[in-house]
Amino acid sequence: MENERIRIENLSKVFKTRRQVIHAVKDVNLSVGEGEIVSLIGPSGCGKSTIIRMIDDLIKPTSGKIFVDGVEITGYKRIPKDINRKIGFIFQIPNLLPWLTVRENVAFPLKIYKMQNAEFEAYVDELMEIGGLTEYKDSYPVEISGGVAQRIGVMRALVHKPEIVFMDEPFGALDTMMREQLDMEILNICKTMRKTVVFITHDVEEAVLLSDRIYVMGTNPGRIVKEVKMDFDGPRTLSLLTEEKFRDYCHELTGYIGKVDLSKIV
Amino acid sequence: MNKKGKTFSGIMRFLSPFLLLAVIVVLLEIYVAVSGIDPKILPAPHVIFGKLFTRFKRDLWKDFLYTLRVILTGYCIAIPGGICLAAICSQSKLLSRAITPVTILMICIPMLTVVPILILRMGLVIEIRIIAVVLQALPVICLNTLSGFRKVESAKIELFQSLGATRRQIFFKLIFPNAMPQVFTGLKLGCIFSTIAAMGADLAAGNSGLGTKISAYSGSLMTDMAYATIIVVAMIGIILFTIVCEIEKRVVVWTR
Repeated sequence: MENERIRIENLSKVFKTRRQVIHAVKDVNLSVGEGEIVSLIGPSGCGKSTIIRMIDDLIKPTSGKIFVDGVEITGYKRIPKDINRKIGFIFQIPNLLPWLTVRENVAFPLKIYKMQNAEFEAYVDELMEIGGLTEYKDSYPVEISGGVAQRIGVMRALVHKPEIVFMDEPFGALDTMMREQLDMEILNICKTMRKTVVFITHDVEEAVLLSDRIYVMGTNPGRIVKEVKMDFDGPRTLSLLTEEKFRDYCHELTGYIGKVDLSKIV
Repeated sequence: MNKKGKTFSGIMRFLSPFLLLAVIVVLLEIYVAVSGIDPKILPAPHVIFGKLFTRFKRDLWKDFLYTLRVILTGYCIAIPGGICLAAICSQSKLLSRAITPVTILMICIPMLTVVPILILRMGLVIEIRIIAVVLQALPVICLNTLSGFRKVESAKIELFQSLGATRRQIFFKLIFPNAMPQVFTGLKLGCIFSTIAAMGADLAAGNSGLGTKISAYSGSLMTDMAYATIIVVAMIGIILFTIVCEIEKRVVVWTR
């Protein structure tokens, strides 16, 4: 693949507890190209969260290799700082620090990365404007709603201008309308800034709406079942939800996920 | 609630402990008057307060300053001591496990046993009582702070790891601020324990301090003065506690 930013070769992760051995991820191969939005979808427990955590060095793989921008990060004890800085991570829960104000939360990665300067401070305000957070800037997390909190988490992940963004079911806990709105916002930001995105969701429609390619995963063990390319002309908008091609893709993908479940029972 | 209503509830919240105390005092007055109980066992509250106001300057002032000095010095040593000890122990799981029962043991040792040993070694100096206060307050502060340091949500640690934070950054920017509510619980308990320890040390050492006065007054059946002194001690504890609470309100803004 040209301009490949992430490549995963034969990645496996085995969790050993006292009672059982869990093959969370087994022999996964995938890649993500520059500016692509790639989704991992599948039922709970198929290892999708584990995979992106392994790329961002939050979990150590049992075997296999991970390459980010050509650098084999699995060869290092800790992911190199300059690679880590290119990655932004959006968690499933807002994960805000309650003793900081909203603005301080959004700006927080700049503090850790020691990237505090006038340019980035202005960018913080810009991101807050985009995320509709400016009115909350001096509030504390305990005073705001879940939807606002999640938006803070999203903006925080983008504040250090990462080129690669991982999103772990970022809008799972929100209602459909807010989810659709935020999906479009994120799509806009990522496409305008040519970010490379790995998106995890269990919502097939969300995946089809946003992605360039989708990897369908199965459980027991966690593995890739199918790779599907999304072929839509023109920019993605919410009107796509009604188009026939969209519904066909959703149908197809649900089938792949469904198939896997059946074989588990049989 | 309209503005008038809000101010009223605010005033009521401030006044309510005083009102409750007033009710208790009135009930005691009535009880003493009606039951005809011997004033050497339970004097009427107005007699106690009378003695308190008239005799404080003459009889209690020096000991008040002495005890105040003991409590404040001991408490101010126990605070950084307890927090630093907890910070060190939090770095090692083994150390944390080991220190907890030991600190509980320290709190449980009665002053009556410790103080005479200290007197034998150091003589009847003020430092003994300060050591006694530290021995009681430091473990409490340490235990609560340690508990706060260890109770961090794994999701938050993941956030810091995803940002590639160093151990030092994780401690000062996550673990320490996250522990603040627990630290303040320890500080509040600490000031109560400091007051109790100071009294215990006084009773064991017995040549100056408010505890000594309480013991002396009870012994010579000057019960009204004894209760008056007890009120002074209680006031020290309460005012210290209130100061800590006020500081907490300004520092820990994120919990309801």
